[in-house]
Amino acid sequence: MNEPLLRAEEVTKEYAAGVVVRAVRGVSLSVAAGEIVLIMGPNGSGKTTLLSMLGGLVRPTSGRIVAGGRALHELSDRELADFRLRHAGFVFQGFRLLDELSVRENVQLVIELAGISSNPREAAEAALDSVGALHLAERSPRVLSGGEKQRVAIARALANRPMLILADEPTGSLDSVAGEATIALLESAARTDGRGVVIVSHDSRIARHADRVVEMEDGVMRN
Amino acid sequence: MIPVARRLLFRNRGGLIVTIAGVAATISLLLFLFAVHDGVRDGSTRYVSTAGVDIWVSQKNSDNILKSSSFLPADLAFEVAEVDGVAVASPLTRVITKADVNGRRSSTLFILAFDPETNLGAPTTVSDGSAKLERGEIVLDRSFVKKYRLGVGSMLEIQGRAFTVKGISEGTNALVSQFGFTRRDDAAAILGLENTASFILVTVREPDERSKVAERIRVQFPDLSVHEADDFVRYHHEEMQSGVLPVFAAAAIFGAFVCALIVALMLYNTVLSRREDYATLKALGASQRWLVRVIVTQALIVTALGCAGGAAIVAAMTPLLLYTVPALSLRYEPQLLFVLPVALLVGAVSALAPVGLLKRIYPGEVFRA
Repeated sequence: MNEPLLRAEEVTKEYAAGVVVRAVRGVSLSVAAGEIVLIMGPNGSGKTTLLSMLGGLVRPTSGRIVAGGRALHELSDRELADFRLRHAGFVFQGFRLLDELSVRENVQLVIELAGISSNPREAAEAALDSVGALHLAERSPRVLSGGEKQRVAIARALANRPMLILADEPTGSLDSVAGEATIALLESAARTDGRGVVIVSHDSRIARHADRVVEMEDGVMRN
Repeated sequence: MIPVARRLLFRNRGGLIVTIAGVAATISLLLFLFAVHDGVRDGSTRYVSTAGVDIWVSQKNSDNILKSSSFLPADLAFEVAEVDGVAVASPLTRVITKADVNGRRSSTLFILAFDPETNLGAPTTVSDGSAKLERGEIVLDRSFVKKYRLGVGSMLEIQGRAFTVKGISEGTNALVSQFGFTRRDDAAAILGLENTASFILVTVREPDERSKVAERIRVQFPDLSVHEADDFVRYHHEEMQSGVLPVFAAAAIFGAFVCALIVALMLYNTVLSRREDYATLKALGASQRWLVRVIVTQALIVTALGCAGGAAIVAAMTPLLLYTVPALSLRYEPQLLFVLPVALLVGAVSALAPVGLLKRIYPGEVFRA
């Protein structure tokens, strides 16, 4: 296996809401290039909180997270935003596409923000083409099926050519066919493009495609 | 670049329209106030600036025809006429009175009575009829004429004396009162005082010599006030400004505050209602600075549309206002355009409130169901 793209060491996340809640407790995890890691566990087990920390969305209360040579736990908000923009791609259960933008514009927006292409429109169309969604480019996300939306969301996640893809329940809102297609796209991102892919899911079908399955319960990693 | 600010703004069309209407109403109110201000300023000063007078002579410490009393012997004009460089010196009598129009008591009239022989002090802004007056004839301000449904040839009474409207003048409406013009002999009859004037109006032989002539008059008549025309006009501006400017300034500041509040509330609500989208944008890596730019752009769009709407309201309402309130004198000067940059600045400042909310939206919220 390659050198890890992402390494989390003894990561803990506490929330103070009247009483202190420890959502994640002392979790260590690494993700290598081209590797698919599946995090499973019941609701409230802390898997989404862990994913948030791995993607630089939330800072750990303690512990270290190093991604692409950057110590995420030490970065400022601005630096974290820049990390997410350039090195992480997110896929959400609820797709999180902006309905007011066309499919192409949703993808193009990330490319423009990252400033990684002199022709963001073409780059967005290429990203859509790579997931077989180019024919949807000028449609509104409102009129798309769940499977189509997730394709577009994956195109958006890939558009900034990130080293990491972090997916939260990517098949949770999809039927089995669309779910399989989504898994295939994420697998392709890992196997073909060498990206590290971390997936949080209840969907046991994904386990067949993962290199490692991590079980979480009560904020603790079980294996 | 993808117009994210505009797209996000226009999704809530109902709220947007209400906000733009609120801003437009505020802007139209401000434009209206400034137009009234400019109209009153014009109505208060146009006569003195267009009467063709080089030097105004008045009782000591009297420096305007609006709010200061001045009583002089009318035959002082003969003595002033003897001063070297004076072409014409002519008395002007001011009478502040009300008229009886078809049995209805009018609002206050500032009657300026000039000498029909020199015609100095006669209104030069007569648009209907004539300022060549015979006894018992009067020129009235247009808004006064409209208010009391008069016209050239109409009759009215002043102090029991009948007058026929001979002409209608423009720019002679000082809002709280309007100007009328008669011959001096009529004014003397109204006052019951034969040899009384309020001002001695002077023209000079050589326009370049005006200051020197004014100085000669001052030397010869040290107990009088002698004002060159430019100074006299300026005093009227100052008099008007000192009275109403603070009121208009307060109204303008209040209007700007209301405008800012409306835009801030709308933007705040926009950010709040689409919190998930902003969290998503943050999760995708949009910087705080970029998001602030989105909010400020939205504020500027709303304010600019509000300004356009306000201008449209003013354009539509002005004829109606002038019809229903004839005493109004509205002037829309090019300087009114300054409202636009000021409003845009206020709009940009109003973005501070939603920007504060934006800071409290965390990218991790994107995973909430």
